[in-house]
Amino acid sequence: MTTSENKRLIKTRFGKEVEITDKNLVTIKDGLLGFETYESYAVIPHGDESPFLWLQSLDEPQLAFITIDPRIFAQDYVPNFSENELSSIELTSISEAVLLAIVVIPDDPKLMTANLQAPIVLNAKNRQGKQMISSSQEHKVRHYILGKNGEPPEKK
Amino acid sequence: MLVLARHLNESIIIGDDIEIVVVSVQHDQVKLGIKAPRNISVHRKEVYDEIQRENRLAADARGDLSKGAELLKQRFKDEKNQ
Repeated sequence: MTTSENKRLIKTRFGKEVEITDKNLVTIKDGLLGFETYESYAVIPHGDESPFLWLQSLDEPQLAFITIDPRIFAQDYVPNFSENELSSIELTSISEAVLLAIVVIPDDPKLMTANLQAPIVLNAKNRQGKQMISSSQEHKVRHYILGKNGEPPEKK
Repeated sequence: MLVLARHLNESIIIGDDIEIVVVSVQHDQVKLGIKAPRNISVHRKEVYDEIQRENRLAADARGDLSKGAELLKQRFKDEKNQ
């Protein structure tokens, strides 16, 4: 291989082809729960002004997830995983990890939620990731991004 | 489904390297100890099911992402101004 970039176009769920390079690629070990057969993904920014990242399957154009760095809205967020689990993607401590929370944006986007109980934990060095389940009870599957402390936002 | 009766502190072995021990029994609650290799993840079933459901919901949701990004940006602005 002569270039480290390895540019190519991929089909995406969000309606257009996108150019990616090797830098976009991640391997999600054992896939996401419920989607175990899909391990190869590209991380693609939603836009310059947007905090969201697409996690687009390379094998199935219709399969993509919206993700976000959870510390953007939950600064103190530190999920809890066993050393064994972290070592499955060659991490020794959670402080080395890049975290992505999977987001659900419903028809009313004010009610968007992020899954803080089972984030995608990434090792930026080897581009491996895994969806891990935090053993902290305080981290919710549905953390309301626009609410206070993850509670549903107040209606106005 | 295979059903086995076990007493306190007795265990079962699954394959060569997974052991499940009955640690305590109180009323209708059983505490289990699990010894398994590091590549085997062990979770409460209801938590596992909930996350699976949420992933499916995330894959199917078609809410307006740009609107979501805008709302989040607005929220940070509001917080700064407070």
